[in-house]
Amino acid sequence: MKTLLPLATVIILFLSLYLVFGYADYEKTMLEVQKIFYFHVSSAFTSFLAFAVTCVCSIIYLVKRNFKADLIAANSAELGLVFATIVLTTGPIWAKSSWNTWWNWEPRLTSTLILWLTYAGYFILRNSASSAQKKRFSAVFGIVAFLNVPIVYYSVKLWQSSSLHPPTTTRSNLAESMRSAWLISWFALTLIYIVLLKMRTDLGIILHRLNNMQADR
Amino acid sequence: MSASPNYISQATWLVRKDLSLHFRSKNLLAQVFVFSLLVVLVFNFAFGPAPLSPNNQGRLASSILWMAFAFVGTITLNRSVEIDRTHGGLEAIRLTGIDAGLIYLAKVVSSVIWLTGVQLIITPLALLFSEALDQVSGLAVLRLIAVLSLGTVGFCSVGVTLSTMSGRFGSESLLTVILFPLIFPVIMAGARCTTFILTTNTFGNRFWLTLLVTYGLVFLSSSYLLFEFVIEG
Repeated sequence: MKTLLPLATVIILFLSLYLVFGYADYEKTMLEVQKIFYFHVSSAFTSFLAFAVTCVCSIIYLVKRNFKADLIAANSAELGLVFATIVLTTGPIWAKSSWNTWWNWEPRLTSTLILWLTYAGYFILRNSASSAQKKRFSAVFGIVAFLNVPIVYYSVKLWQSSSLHPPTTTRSNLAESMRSAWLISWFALTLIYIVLLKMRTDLGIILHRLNNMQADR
Repeated sequence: MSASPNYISQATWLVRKDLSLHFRSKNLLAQVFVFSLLVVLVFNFAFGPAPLSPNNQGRLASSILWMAFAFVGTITLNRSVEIDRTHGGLEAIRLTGIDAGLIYLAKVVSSVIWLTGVQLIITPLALLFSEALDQVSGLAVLRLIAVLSLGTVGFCSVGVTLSTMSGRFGSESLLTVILFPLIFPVIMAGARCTTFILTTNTFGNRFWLTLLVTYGLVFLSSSYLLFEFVIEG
């Protein structure tokens, strides 16, 4: 099981790369640049999943004081931040090619930027606290930050009412080859998230044991 | 939680304690007043003496106002927590057995009262320096007070929880880093409503007012439940 999931992830990742670059149709106007879509949207979905996991594990930590829940919450936030960074990097590349501007105060891009800043704050807070406080404080912050996600999204949406992003329904109108490639890419990135989360958590548990052994000496 | 007379008297006592500490500190009064005035002036100087249309004057005034409130709010929250931290006040209050949620609510109420007082002084000055004072009618003033109060409740609902956490490390800059990303909706909604009031004398799109109310309710209730975990230990 320890090697099966990473192996399956690598296979599905290569499959998704083949589907994106070798199987999916080219978009008529954007050509190769449209391929960013498969990783941009999938990374956005995976980062939301990661932040949701952080929120759930933060609640579990506060209720049960389970150190593993805190570990998963922090690691998931870390991975969410990585995926949000991918969104913020690929977004401007897409924007330049599609809308002829590197940045636009567009609702989804803007709310991802706010989300990125929020979870950067999560780690600044976590690293400022002593070990006794950091689990509690980051759990509280993890819950409050996630409650803010839908509010930020809808407020940015109305603040900048002219969205350049295609409506959400566009994805269901994708050509069959594009849709399959996108779904497999999304699945591949989700698996990468799960594998990395597990590896980071296992590492955290080992470090925790090591610290306890050193403290016992 | 029950609204027993004991509960209300405890809350009143806590609010009075916070407010008297705020008002007793002449240094804080002067600092907040001068700082907010400086923010207003810096923004006006940075923008330059360009002649503006009434619409743009309204937008400039509302942007300056909300920037000043965000900064002054941060100073107030930091100061409020610092008072409790340096003399072990919070621990002493906890020893009396007062509910954590009540301590939170009292802190929010006292911060809202204090910040509303500051806003009542700063708003006319900001409008004056932005040359938007002539555009404000009597009804607009009432609408402005309503929006500012709702925005302040939203700001304090998150701010009190986060400042209590950041205050434990004595780091003032930490609060701005963790608070500002969370209050973007308040700034957006408050500034939009203020712009509408200054330019059209209406609240504008109802969404923004609803957002201010929803934000306040969501974070007041969640922070009320979570505050216990913030101050334990």
